[in-house]
Amino acid sequence: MTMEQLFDDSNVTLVLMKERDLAGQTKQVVSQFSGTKRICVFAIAKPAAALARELKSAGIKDEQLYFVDAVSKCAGVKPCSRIDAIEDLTDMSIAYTEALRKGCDAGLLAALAVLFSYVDEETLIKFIAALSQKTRAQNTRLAILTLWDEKTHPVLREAFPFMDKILDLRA
Amino acid sequence: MRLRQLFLAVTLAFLLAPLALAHEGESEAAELFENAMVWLNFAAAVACVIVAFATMNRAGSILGRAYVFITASILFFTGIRLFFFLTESTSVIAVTEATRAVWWHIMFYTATGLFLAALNALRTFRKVERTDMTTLATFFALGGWLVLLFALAMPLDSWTAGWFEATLWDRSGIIHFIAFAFIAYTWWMLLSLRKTFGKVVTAASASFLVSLAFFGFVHLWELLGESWNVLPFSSEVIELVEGPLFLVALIAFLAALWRIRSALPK
Repeated sequence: MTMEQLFDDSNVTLVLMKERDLAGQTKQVVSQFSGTKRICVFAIAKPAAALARELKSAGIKDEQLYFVDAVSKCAGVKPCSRIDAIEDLTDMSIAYTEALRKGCDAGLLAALAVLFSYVDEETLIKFIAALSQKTRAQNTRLAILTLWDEKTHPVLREAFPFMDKILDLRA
Repeated sequence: MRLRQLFLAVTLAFLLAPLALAHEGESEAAELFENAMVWLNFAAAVACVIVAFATMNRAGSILGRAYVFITASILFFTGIRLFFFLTESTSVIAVTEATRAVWWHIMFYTATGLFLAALNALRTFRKVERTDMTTLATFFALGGWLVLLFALAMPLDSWTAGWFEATLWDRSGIIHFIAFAFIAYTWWMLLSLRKTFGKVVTAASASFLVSLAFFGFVHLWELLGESWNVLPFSSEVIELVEGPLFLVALIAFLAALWRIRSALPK
């Protein structure tokens, strides 16, 4: 896969992945960001430090990383925006704006399904819509990663219209 | 030849056919052409409704709610062609030219208004349940309104003709200008939605814009040919040309709906 295939001319891509090869496919997607200036990574399922290690193994350099951390209070990573609770989507959205202002030209929101159990559907849809609009307004790129099995989840079904591209990695 | 060029060539051929037929005095061929247009219009409209319903299954409630209004809008656009068929081709509903003009414009305003309601539903992206009673009630009320328009056309014929025929309302073409205003506002709404939504939805906006432009051409054609009488064609030719213009508008509408459907995961 290339960055071109991941986004085409799009700003926001929803990547649907197989559970069986989740780690491999995530690495495949993440490695496409190696050419970007700075990536805003949302840490919502794992501590930012653990994510940093994974990203480095996919070829991303330390200086390319900017974290929005809702799990580990920015422990061991820099630069980072600390989010006190995972359900604080407004804070996460503001942090994303800040990240874009600080030179991030790409965003990565992996394991979206984690938010399903913390936040109500409507709030989460608005959050996804806000991230998408900000990404398009700044003409940057955002990849939202989730499992193929989640595609029938109400939140994802509502989020489809806000995407520029839906990439099915099952094939 | 690319698909887009083929589409343009076929469109042009369709639009020129009535002029050629009338020029050569081929009245039988012209009638055949008119009937073919009626059936093709219905086929395109039915295809639009099928694709719209099929997309509702894949879409969430935000898009789904918009699709309820879009489907209602298609029914009204189809209603216009059906009204023409019943009043002009078959005379099942015997009304004057004035009533036909007023009535089909009311249907057009309703259809475009519904399309605007669909865009507004997207803009506000209020999530609703699929069985939202207000939406269902609106849908049935609109169906009733369409039936009522058909049923009242004959009883109100002389009253409508009385205040409209050969008056300033008729000659100024104001009913067409109202339609232009509807179309222009819908264009603006479509373009403004591009900021909010992704290409999954907005990639279809070009086809919707083309569709609305062709509906606009129908009004422009009638304004020049019937209200202002500045076109050098007989009324038969003017009516004949409207069929292909409507057909192209509906095909563009269908293309837009298909594009959204194919962008959504199965």
